[in-house]
Amino acid sequence: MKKFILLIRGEDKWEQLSPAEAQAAVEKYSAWAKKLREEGRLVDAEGLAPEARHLVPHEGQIVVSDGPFTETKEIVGGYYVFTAKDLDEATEICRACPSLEYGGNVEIRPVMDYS
Amino acid sequence: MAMIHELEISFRRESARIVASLTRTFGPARLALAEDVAQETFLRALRVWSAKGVPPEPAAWLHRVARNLALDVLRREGLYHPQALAEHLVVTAPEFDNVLADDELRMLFLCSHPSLPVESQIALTLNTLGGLSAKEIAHGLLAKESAIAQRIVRAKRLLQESQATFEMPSANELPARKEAVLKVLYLLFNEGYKASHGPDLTRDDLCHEAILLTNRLANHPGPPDPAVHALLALMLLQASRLPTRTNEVGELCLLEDQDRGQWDLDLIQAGLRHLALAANGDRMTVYHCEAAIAAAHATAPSLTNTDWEAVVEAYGDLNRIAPSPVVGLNRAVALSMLRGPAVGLEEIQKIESDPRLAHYHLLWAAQGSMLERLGRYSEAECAYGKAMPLTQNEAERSLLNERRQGLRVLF
Repeated sequence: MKKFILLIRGEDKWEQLSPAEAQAAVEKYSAWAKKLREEGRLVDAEGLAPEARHLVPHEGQIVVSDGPFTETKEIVGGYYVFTAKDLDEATEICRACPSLEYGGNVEIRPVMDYS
Repeated sequence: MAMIHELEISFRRESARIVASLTRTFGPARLALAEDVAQETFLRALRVWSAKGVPPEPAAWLHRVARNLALDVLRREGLYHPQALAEHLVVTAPEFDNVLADDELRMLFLCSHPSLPVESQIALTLNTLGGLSAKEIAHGLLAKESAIAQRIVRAKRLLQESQATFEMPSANELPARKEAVLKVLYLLFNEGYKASHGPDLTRDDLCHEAILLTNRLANHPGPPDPAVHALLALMLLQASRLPTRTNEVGELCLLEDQDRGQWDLDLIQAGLRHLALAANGDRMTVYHCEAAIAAAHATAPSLTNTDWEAVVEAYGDLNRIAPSPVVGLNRAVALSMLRGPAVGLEEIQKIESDPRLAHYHLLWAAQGSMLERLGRYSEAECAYGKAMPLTQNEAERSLLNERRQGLRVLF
C-alpha cells in the first residue's frame, strides 16, 4: 500500500449553508471518513485555519506578510492522508469525497517513499 | 485519531442557542453580528469535524468556539475587559443550560417586539429561534425567498432603531408582550398547519418548531400562564392529526375521512394535560376555545360520535371573545351536526350576507354539504359551483368538484 495526500481547496458553498444543511454536510463527511477509517486507510486528517503567514525572500531579506494571496478557490482548507494500492485506486476513493459537492476541488498527490 | 461520535445534536437548535447567547453579549442592535459569529462557528465545525470527526461533546465544542470568536470581536473593538471574560467563562453545565434557556426566552420576546410588524416577527422568530434560512422559511410559508429575506433585514433594522433591550419585559409590560409572543407562535403553527399537504416535510417542521418554542415558554419558571398552556394544548391536539391530513397521493383528507386509528395518542394525551393546566385561571382566551374544539375532535371515536354540544359551545365562546363571521360559520356547521342540517342552514342564512364572507369558499361548501344532506341536490350543486372558483388551493378545488360531480347522478 502506498500513501497519498488529498488536498482540498475552495469549498465555497459552505458559506451559504443553513444550519440544517451544514449538519447534513457534516454527516456526509463523517460517513466518507468513517469508511476510510474502517478500511484502515486513514493515516491523518486535519482542517486548516484561514489565517496564514507568507514568507518570501526579497533582496537578501525575508519578507513576512499576512495571508495567502491566492484566490479563495486556491486556498488549501484541509487534507487527508490515506493509503491506496496506486494512484488509480486513490482517485476512485476521492471521487466520493463530499468536498466535490460543495464547490471544492481536490488534488491527490502520492507521498514519495523510496525506503 | 480522535474518537468519532455520531452527531446527536441539532445544528438548527444550537444555532438558535448560540445566536440568543451572543445577542446577550453584543446587544439586540447587533443581531446581525451575532449571526455572523454563529455562522463562522459552523464553518469552523465543518472544517475541523470533516477532518477529525465529530468531537465527544459537539454542543459544548460549538458554544466554546462561538464564545472565543465573540471575545475576539470584543477584543478587536477594545471593548474587552476581564469582567466580560469572567461572565462568559463562569457559565458551566448545568447552569449553562439554564442561562441558554433564559437567553432563548428573551430572544422570543425580542422577536415579537412591538416595533416590528407581525409578518417580520414571524420571519425573525423562524430565522433566529428556528435556525432556518430565508430559503427554508420561504418554502414553509409559501412566500418568495427575497420577500422573506427583506422582512428579516427590515426586522433587524427596526430593532436597531427602536433600541430594544435584551431584557425580559417588566411586570406591567409582560401581559401585553406575552400576548404578542403567543400570537406569533399561533400564526407560526397555523402557517405550517394549513399548508401542510403534499409530500413536503418542511411545513410540518414549522408546526414542530412552534410547539417546541411554546413548550419552552410553558416550562419557564415563574407563575404558570393558563393562556400558554391553552395554546400548547391546541397545537398538540391539532398536530396529533398531521399525518392523516393527506392521503397517499398527497391530497387533502377531510376530518370525516381521516383514519382516526392513525392519530398520535401521545400528542393527544399531552394536549389534554395542558388543556387541564389551562383551566387554572379566570381568563378565557381564544386559545382555550380553539383547544376545547380540537380536544372534542381528538377524543371522538367518529365524526357522528363527537361531542358536538361542546363544539357548539366553544364556538359560541370564541364568537363572544373574538367575533368573526368565520367562527359563526363554523358554529353553524357544528350545530348542523348536533341538531340536523336544517338548523345549520338556518344559522348560516343569518350570516351569509356578511360582506366579510363574500369571497369565502367554505361558506358555499358548507351550505352545499347541508343542502346535500337535506336531499336538495340541485341547490347543493349550485352551492359547490359557487365555492369552487373562490379557493386557490388545488386540493380543495378538486375535492369540491368531486362532490359536485357525485351529485349530478342523483338528480
